[in-house]
Amino acid sequence: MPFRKESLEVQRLRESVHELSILNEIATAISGVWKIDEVIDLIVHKCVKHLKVEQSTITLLEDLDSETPFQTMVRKIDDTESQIPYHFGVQLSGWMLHNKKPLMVNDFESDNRFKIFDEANFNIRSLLSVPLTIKGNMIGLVNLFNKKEGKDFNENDQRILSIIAAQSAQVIESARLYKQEQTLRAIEEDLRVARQIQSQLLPKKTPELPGYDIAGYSLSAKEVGGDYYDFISIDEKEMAFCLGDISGKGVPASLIMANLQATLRGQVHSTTSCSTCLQKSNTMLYHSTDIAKFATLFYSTLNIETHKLCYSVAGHNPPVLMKSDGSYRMLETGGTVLGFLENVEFEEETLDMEIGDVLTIYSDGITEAGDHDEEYFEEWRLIEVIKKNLGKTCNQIIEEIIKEVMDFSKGGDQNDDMTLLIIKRNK
Amino acid sequence: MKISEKQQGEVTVLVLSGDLINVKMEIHPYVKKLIDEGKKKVVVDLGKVKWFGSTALGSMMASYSSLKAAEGEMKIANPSGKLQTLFYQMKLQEIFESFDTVDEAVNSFK
Repeated sequence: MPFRKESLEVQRLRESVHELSILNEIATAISGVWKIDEVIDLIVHKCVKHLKVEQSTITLLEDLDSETPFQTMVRKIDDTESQIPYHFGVQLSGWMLHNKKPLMVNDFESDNRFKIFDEANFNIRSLLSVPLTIKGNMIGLVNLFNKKEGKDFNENDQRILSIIAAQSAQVIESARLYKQEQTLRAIEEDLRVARQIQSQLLPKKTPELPGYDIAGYSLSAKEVGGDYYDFISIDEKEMAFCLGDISGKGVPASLIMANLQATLRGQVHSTTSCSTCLQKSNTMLYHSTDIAKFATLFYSTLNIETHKLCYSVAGHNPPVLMKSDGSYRMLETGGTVLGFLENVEFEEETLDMEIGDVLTIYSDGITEAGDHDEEYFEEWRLIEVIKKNLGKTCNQIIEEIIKEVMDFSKGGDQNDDMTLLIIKRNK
Repeated sequence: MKISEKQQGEVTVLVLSGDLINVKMEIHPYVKKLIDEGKKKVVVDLGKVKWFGSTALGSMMASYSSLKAAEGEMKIANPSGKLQTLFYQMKLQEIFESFDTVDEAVNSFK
C-alpha cells in the first residue's frame, strides 16, 4: 500500500483525539482520589508525561490572613532531583495572584519580570503557568517547566493545561477541605480525651470529716484548661487537700496533672511537712516535664482533732480564710510555681481552724473571669460573695460563687477551668 | 504576637507585643536562637503586654532557664501593674529581676 501523507484536517483530528484521551485519563484518575497529596501527585505526573516537560509543580495558596499575606502550602516536584528555587515559586505565585491569567514564557533568561535569587540546580528555560480557580477565587497554580526537545510552549499547550486546571481545581479544593475536616476532628478528639482524663482524676466524692463541711467543684472550659484538686487521706485524723492549675491545656496538661497527682499522693505518706512535700514534688515535676511547663498549687494538711491547718502555696492564687464575723486574710506563705526551677525552698504556715472559719481555695478561672481588656472578676468580688453567704453550706457557697461569676461574664465564653474547694469548721 | 529585637551594646532587648494568650508560643524558640548566636544578655520589654496566658508564662520561664544554663541572664523591664501583681502572686518577682525602664535593666548588666 503506498504511503499517503495525511491531510492537515486528519492530522488535527488525530491531535484532538489524542488531547481528549489525555484529558479523559486525567479526569478519571483524579476523580476518585481523596487525599490531597495523591491528587497533586497524579496531576503532576500526568502533566509531565503527556505534555512532555521536564518538571511540573502545583502550588496551593493557604487561606489569607493578616499576618501572612499568602503561603504556598504544597509544592510537588516530579521527575529529576533538582528543585525550583523557593523564592521563585513565591514570585510566580505573586505574579499570578495579581494578574489572574495564564503565563507563558519561552525565553526565561531575557524576561525581566523574574529574577532568580539563587540558581539552585535548575535552569528555567521555558515556563507555562495557569491559575487554579474556584468560583473566581484563585486557590493555586499549575506550572510546567522546560518543554522537552528544546521546543517552545504554544497556545495548544496553554489550552490543554487550562482544561486540566479547570478539572483539577474542584478536586483539589475538595481534597483540601477533607484534610481540614480531618484536622478539626483530630483536635476535637484530643479535647474529648483530655476532658475524659481530667474528669477521671478529679475526686468522685467529697470526704466526710466529723465537725467539718467540705465541698469541691470544677467546671472545665471548652478547651480543657488543667485545673485539678484532690483529697488525700493520711490517717483517720489527718487529711491533705490541694488545688492546682497546670499550664497549657488539652491532653498535655491532663497528662501532667496525672503525673502531679501521683507525685503528691506518693509524697504525702513519707512526709507530714507541707513544705517538704512541695519541695520534693517540685523537683520530681521539674525532671519529668518539658522546660516550658509548670503548675501552680495550694497544698495543705488538716488535723481534725487539733484543728491545725498547715499549708504552703506554690505560686497559686492565695486562698481566702474568713472568720464568722466576716474578717479575712489571704494565705500567701510558700514559694514559686512547681516545675520551673530544680530546687525550690518552700515556707509553710500553721494556723488554727476555729469554729465558723471558712477556707476558700480557688483557681484563676474564677478571679480572671471576664475580659482582660475591660474588667475581670477579681479577688474582692469573690470575697464579697463568700461574706454574703458565710452561713450557708459549702456546696451552697460554691453555687453562689459560680452564679455570680457567670452573671459577671454575661454569657461570654468561659476562658479557663473554674475550680473551687471550700472547707468550713462547724463544730 | 510579635517580638522585635534591638541591640543595646552587649544586651539584646526583646519587645513583646500583641496577643500573648491564645497563640503558639515563640518566645522560647526565639531566645534559643539568640543563645546560638552568642547573645546571652537579654532584657524583655513588657511595656506593650497586657496579660500573659499560662503558655506564654511557661515560654518566659523556659527562656530564663535556657539562658541560665548557658551562663546568660534574662531580666524584665516595664511590666504593667497587673503583670507585677501576677509575678508577685506566682512568687516570680524574686526570680525575674524586674526594672521600671529598659535602660535601667540594660545598665544593670554592667
